[in-house]
Amino acid sequence: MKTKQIIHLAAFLGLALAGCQESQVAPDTTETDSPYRDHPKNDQYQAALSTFNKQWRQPGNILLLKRAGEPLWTGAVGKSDLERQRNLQISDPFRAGSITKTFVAVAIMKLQEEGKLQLENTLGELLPEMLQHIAGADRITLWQMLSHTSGIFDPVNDDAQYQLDLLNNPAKRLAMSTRDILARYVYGRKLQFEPGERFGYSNTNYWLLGMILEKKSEKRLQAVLDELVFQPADLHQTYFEPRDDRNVVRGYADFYTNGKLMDVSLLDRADSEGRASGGLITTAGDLLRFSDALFGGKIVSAASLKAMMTLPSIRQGTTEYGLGLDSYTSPLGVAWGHNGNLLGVDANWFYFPDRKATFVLFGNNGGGADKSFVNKLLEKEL
Amino acid sequence: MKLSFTLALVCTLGVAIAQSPPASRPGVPLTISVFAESISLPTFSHMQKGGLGLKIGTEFYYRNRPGSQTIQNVAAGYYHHPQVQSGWFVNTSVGYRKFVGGFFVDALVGGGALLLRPVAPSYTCDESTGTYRKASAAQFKFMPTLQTGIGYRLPNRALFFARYELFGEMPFRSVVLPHQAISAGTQLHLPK
Repeated sequence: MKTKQIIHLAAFLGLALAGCQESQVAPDTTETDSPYRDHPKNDQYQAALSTFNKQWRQPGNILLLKRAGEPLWTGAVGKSDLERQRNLQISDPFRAGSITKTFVAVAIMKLQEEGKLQLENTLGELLPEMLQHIAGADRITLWQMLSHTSGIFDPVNDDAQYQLDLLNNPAKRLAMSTRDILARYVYGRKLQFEPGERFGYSNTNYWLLGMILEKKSEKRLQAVLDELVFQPADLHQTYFEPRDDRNVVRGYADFYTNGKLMDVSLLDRADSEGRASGGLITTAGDLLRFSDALFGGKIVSAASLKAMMTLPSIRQGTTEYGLGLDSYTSPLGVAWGHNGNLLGVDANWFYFPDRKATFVLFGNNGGGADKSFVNKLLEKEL
Repeated sequence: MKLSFTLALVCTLGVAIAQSPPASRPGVPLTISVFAESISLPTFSHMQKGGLGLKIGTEFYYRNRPGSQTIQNVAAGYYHHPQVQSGWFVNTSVGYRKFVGGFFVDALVGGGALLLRPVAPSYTCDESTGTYRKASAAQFKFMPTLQTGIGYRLPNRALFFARYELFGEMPFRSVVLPHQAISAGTQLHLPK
């Protein structure tokens, strides 16, 4: 009797496994057509991108390089959608993740220039209802929120239940408003440190900044960003509002650490879409236009840009983060920009003022990769 | 709706057999339960909807006294968690059950095998060509379990119970992906 039961169970599990066999998908035969084939360093750049792509198991990558004295180059390698075997194109839209924060910071600086707010304003002054919910709201300044020195709790990185709830029901997370998320995961939490004491990256800062933008402008955040950033920078393939856009490059991750890449686009969309911390969809070309406009002084004033590129003085530790702009020191000098990481996305945009060089690197495996090859490409003699 | 229907069916089955004359000797215990699970840390304050499942098993007694039992159960089951995954499992737990009149409380700890099938597609890379092919996402995981419950035993030894259960998928990134579940079920004694 027991033996029969075991046999039946084994047969049952065997059938279940049989239903999980590998299957082939029809390849997309569309060629990746690059208008940069005649670029003098096309072969060199394309080879470096392909090597990076294979080394870091990225289904697809886009690299944009702009150097002083050299024509712009953009290349793509790999796939944007493994299900459809669709070749990645240089103009494909990517989830930009936290690069969104720079756009939000720029919009805040614009409102400051218009006299609608000041960086010394406190969270409580700008959003009085937060006095009841966010510890320290009466003394946390806009400046501290922009530079991640406010001490406000970040559930994205510090609350396991936040991540588990996303995994449990992505559709529910997608439907939650920023206020819902704040109420569920942030309100009532203690400050992580005293405002201004040290650097502590917190997505909550930018959720609140998005709400401040909406309140001060009396418009939805998409409209605010469109008016204050997208239009002045001449961006036509960038948007912020939630859309079920099937053209957005799909994201992948070795989610179960079993050597297989799982399509995590649903989770990325649920975790970022419509959020001021990471909801931007853009292209490499639009990010370059934004970068040129920002660092060329076409969107914000020189004083605002200087403030964004000034590291705040903190009492403990160090920081490389200005106001919505991250920085790192390289052989090419200090680079300014931002990266954006979602589960299935690795997006990077940086500008090197000393060399007047810019790079944008998109990848659709969120597992992380060493991007130093880009510095080496930019370092090479013209 | 599905859960309440299944629960009603399980309870009806239990009552129907409970009304039959008690057997002179207890038969093989058959335990049937339905459960609602979610991917979550243990919490009662923010219970969320997740998936539904069914579990069938039996149990053995290391010690079986009128007021208490030391037990080991064996169960097999299935759950479906929309948008995320489905899982087939076989597990065993050991535990202790204390009776006060017809009522009881019990607690069990154990482990088993979980055949997990994520909803999202997975792909493998052919290292020689660098191309990605769709691959089976199914995988076996160790499934640690911890459960505690309350119930009632009828004179014919049939049980009704409700349990709070924790189980996990191991290994997963930071050790374990936790689930919690609320289950309700019945235990009948099949005639020998």
